[in-house]
Amino acid sequence: MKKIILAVALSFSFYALSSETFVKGAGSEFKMNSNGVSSKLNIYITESSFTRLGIEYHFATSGLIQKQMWQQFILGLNSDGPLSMEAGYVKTPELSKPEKLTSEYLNVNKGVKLDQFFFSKKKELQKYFIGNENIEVPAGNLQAAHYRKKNNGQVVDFWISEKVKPIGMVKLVSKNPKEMAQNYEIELVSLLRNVKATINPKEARPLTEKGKSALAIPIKK
Amino acid sequence: MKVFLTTVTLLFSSLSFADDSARIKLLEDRIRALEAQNGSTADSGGLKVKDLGGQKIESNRSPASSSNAPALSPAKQAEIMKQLEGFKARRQEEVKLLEQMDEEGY
Repeated sequence: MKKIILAVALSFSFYALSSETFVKGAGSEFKMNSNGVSSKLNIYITESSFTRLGIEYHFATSGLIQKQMWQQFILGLNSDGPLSMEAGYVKTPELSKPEKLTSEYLNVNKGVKLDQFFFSKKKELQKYFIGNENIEVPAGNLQAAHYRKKNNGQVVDFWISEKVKPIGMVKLVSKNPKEMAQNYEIELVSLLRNVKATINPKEARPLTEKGKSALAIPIKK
Repeated sequence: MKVFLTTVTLLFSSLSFADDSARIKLLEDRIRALEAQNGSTADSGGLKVKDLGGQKIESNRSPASSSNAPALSPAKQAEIMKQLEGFKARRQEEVKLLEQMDEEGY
């Protein structure tokens, strides 16, 4: 599950890159199904400027054993080039303070890679365009653009719409017959407004063994 | 006779329409009440919007915790997780043993 969570966190695509799109506290609530396990995922903007963007993810599993985790990523924004991952943090109810991720935990996605997928611009996404479709998700019914990306056996179908900014994601279906962690489905439940960040990077401690145990195992290069 | 039947039909249609309108209003009120309870409203595009009013997404506000699924106490969850870890460890040992037996030609 941890592996899936981080893979999902790093697999999100944002539809537009202009800083005006990213309103602090705005985001989306999703429901996620992975191999029969249901969980909730909230993504929202924690800071936004011309050069930096902060995003926080909150994951919660329901059922008998309820788990929660927050992760925050600080991204460096460039006008043309790719984004740079500047810092990452993790917090769980078991950790008294947030912990700062080491570089090995910042990029663990084996399939569709962060730099290929994260914050893709409209123009770059065009080559993956399938068509405009009417799609129904728990948040409502809307028109969305359908895209498909493939990498290392992982096939990701995703639907995005400007109506659900800043995250832009309406639905995502990831499939990989060889990698169990890359089989999941995400649907938009509602848009979020005025969410306060749970992680304060200024309070972060170095990553401990307890913090590591909450994260996916980094991939050895 | 025709006039009478037309009048009766129109009267019943009007009554039925009024009844349907009242039912629709009741249902709309019910939806609004449920949305308010859930902390969400609909935006201009008809999509659900949740305004947290500057609050953090905490465990008690978590959408997951609002589900009707019964949660175990943290102690019970820890106990189950421990048992699962023990089960996984035993399973690994069994697999290792089976592999050894296989290699030795049993």
